[in-house]
Amino acid sequence: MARVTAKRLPSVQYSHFRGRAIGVGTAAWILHRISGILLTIYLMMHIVVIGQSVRSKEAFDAALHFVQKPPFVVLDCALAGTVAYHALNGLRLISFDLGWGIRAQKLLFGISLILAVATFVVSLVAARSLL
Amino acid sequence: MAKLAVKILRYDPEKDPAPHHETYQVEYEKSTMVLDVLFMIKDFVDGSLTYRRSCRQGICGSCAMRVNDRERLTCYTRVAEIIGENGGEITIEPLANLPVIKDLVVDIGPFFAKYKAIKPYLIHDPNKPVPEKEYRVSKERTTHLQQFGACIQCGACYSACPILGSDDDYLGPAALAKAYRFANDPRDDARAERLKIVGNEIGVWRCHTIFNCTEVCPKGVEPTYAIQQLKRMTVQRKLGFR
Repeated sequence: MARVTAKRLPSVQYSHFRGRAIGVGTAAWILHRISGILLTIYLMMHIVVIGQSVRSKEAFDAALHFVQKPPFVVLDCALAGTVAYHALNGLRLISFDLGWGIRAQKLLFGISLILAVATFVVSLVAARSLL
Repeated sequence: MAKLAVKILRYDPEKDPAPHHETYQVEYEKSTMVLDVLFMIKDFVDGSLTYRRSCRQGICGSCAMRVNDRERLTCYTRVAEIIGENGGEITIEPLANLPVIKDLVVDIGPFFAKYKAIKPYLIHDPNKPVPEKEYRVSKERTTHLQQFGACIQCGACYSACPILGSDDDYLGPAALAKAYRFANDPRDDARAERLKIVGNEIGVWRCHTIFNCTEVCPKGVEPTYAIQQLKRMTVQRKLGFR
């Protein structure tokens, strides 16, 4: 059979981003990647904020005052939820690597997600006086 | 007979500048499979439609395609069962992650090259004696390995894997599942060699346990499970206690 140049078909490439094709495992992977990136960005911002303490008492007080405003308190609660999801899904992945729980993968993801959302909500409730 | 709109991704590299969808109107009944629809279109509407098929009974693995954004065997997929997924329309596209030759036919060469690379055959150590009668394999082990022997090399898992969407070098679920099948066979003497072949960044460590392969396999193979077990075996060997 005469073969013409076989080209990779661009439109079928990113099949995992199509709506119907996203399963539980794919969603867990995407959320883990996004939460990881968000946590990395947060860590850098956190170092900048806390690092103000090296400059002076006034600089540190100003920085803390800025990040204690209500929008930032909500973001802090979202951070708690993000950390919870990344950690719990990370434990889910570690258990897979140890050979345990692979057939229960959807249940384990559900538990991670629910506990992460619960962490966010509980944090909001606990911090309601600061809002 | 009910009406059906079928959207197929057509591409003739000698004529078309780019792949494009074309819609056909066909009729179907309770027993119509997606492969039957392809036959209807090729026989009565557009003879240039190109696709692979052979056994039409779910065992040869030729007819794996993306139907409504999900990898399936078209000979095994009943139109009536998937008609609700996309509002009465069915979309048929070739497998992903492999170069398209024409229409629904992809170059499955890379898939088989990786399959070959993991040495899908028993390897006997010539220094070990051959048993007097037969090799005994326990019933539990046989049952456990049967699942991974059921692979029909259709390529559905390869197409469904998002890692392969961005990395052409990854060995892929089918090859790794088969590597596990042989690494776990008591008659095989080359476990260390097999673990070396898969224990690297294009082998088991590329898997992020996305589970797409397990979800689309038409034969019930669980490549994700096999890959996680291979990860364990690789680490145990590296740490020195297996």
